[in-house]
Amino acid sequence: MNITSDILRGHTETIILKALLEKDSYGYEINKRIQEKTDNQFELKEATLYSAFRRLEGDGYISSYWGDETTGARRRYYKITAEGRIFYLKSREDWDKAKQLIETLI
Amino acid sequence: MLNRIRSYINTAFTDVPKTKKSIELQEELIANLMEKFNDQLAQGQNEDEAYTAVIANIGDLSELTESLREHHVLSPENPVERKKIALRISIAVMLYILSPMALIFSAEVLQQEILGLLLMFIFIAGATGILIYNAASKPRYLKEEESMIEEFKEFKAAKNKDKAWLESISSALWLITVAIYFYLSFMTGSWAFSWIIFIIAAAVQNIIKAVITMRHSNEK
Repeated sequence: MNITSDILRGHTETIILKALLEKDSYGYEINKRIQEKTDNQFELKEATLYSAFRRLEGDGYISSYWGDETTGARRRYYKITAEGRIFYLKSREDWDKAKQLIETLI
Repeated sequence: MLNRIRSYINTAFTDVPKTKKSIELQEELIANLMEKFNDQLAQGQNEDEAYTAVIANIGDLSELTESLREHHVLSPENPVERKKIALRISIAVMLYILSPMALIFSAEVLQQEILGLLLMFIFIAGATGILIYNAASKPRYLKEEESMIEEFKEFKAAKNKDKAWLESISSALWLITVAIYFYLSFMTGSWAFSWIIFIIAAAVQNIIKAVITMRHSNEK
């Protein structure tokens, strides 16, 4: 489990970008979808998630805007940029290569 | 329960500068955590269980708060510039003090009242010029980051600058008024009427104040 979460942590940004490829979303919704996809086996820590948002936004891979909820608290939505899509594809390629290598090694 | 989650986040952000970014990040975190908390309640947990589950998954916020702190180092004041300003103010004050002495010296020793008056005005004009230059060349406070504190500092800096102008002009105005009062009164002996000059001076000062305030609000 520890190795698994270490490997997953190294791909936090790709995981977030993948989630945003489908549609604009906000922190909790992204995390909820990750939980559902992994059958409750994995969930990002809030600290990890929001640090990654800040890094991705700083690098220009995502942009953010405030939602216009009429009830309850305002949500900050994130949107993937063109640079973000390119970065996602590159990360995907890197992962595929690493996966093959590891597969042959262990 | 919103208050418990809010105070947990506020505590984590205690040492972080209150910039727009950090306040928005706190708002974002609280909104998302509240939604998660409500989901946990909907799944049948009680309030305490839900709160514990939400807080337990937050993790270590220090990387996040640290990244907010980095960009908030204020540039220190330039010491060379400060010394220059202090020197100019000293010279100006010295000229003000010397100005009536020039008048007394010329009038008593050289028997040249007009020359003395001329000298005095030159001294006052020089001193006032230096003070106005100082006020006008004072470095502006530049906004480093959009936040309420920065905006307030900028607002204050603009106000202080106006104040410095007003002070330099009015100190010169009153000295000149006193000089004219004594000169006219001694020369013409019209002590009965010459005091009116002080009322005129007060009016002039208010006009200057109004002009500065108007110019400031026009800029806005």
